[in-house]
Amino acid sequence: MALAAVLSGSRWAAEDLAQETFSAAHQQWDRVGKYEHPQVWVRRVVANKSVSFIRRSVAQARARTRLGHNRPPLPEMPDESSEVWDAVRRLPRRQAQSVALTYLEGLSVEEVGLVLGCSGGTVKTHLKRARATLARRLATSDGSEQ
Amino acid sequence: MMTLDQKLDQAVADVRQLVEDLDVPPFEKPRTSWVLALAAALVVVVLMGGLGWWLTAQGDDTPPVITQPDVTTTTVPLPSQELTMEKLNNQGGFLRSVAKIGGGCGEDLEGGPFVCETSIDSPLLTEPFEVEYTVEAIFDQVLQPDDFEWESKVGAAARESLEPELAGLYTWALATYPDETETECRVDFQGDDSVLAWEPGYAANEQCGVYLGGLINEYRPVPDELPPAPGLGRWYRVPGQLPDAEFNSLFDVAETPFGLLATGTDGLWISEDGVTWEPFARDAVVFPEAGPFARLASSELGTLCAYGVRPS
Repeated sequence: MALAAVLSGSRWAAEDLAQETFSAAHQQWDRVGKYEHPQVWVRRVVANKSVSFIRRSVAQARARTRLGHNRPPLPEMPDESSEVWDAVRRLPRRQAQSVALTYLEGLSVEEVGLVLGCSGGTVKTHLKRARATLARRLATSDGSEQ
Repeated sequence: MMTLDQKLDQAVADVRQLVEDLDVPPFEKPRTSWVLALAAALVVVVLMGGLGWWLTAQGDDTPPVITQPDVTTTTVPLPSQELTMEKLNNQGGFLRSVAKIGGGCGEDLEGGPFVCETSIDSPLLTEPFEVEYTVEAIFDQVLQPDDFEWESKVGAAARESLEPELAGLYTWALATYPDETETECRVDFQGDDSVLAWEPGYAANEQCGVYLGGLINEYRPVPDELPPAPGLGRWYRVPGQLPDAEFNSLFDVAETPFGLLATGTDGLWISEDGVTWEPFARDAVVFPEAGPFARLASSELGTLCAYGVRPS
């Protein structure tokens, strides 16, 4: 759920996304349960659903704005959300997922690669680019480059 | 000045604390005492007995009749079933018919081209129509997409690779709703979000209609009384009969020059008498303006759905 929260930017959506994911896992357990690492599948689905949520929410917000609807488009993350996660969510999708899985979930680059379906080297590249962007946007120093 | 790692550590700690603070009760297996179970059973028996006595006293033991709304059905000639793709093209393309647009992409893990195919299935077609093409030229950018580049490249890919009608629809969508027409397809081979979700630039996939217009989010007021459909008399809601669980996110609906475009998720086929409903899901459908096919309707949940009459 933490992964969904930081990637979707909505604590309430995260609850739904986590629930949907576990529901999907339950429904398809005949297949998912046979995977070597079912937890990888769960994380992957959460990450994908979270990004899809963002994309759809943004499109909804644009359409509402165009039609003059003033309803708040997105349930905002409460104050607990830091500027860091806001910056993470503005990263390209793979970079954001790599950051969340690495730092929040504590996965190794190889494990992140399993979740995202890419190599550890690709994850490293995503992380390097993400860190550079985050450091710039957060006006801080990227410790890895020091 | 805090380093990036320090900020990330703090942000991670905040989120973990946020999740921990959620008041989620621990899962406990429901326990039922035999006393409560016995009492519940007794209550049910008493209530059923009372209901039976009441029905007998009313002198009417027939089940209640659910009155269907009065539907005036007008027979409208359906398009010929003999239409071929060529004929459809001659008549302006399949978009004037009910059509399903589907497809898929496959990645050659050895570094080969990323091949996509798009299929068009319509009850008006005598045989499926498929087109296959590669997006090799843009594949290298999948990992580091640039939205703006993607937009132009994918638009070009559509224009070059797809049928003119599809490309025309895409062009129209992009011009009409530039902010809401996204150049992305949902690539989800398993149908469960587990493989790939939103990969920019893929020109076809299982929901190619999404690419071509599914993100034209047209929000409309949900009517209490559904508008009359050509040839169908009244549309009406059937409370309790709509399989709400089947459609909960079809707001990808837009009027296009080709008809009502519904994409992305779900819709309903409805029988001509307006009584029988059959959900279909994960389709992209264009309902024509004329003919006994479809109008925009709404679900009980307030989301928009597309209802269509399956051609007989």
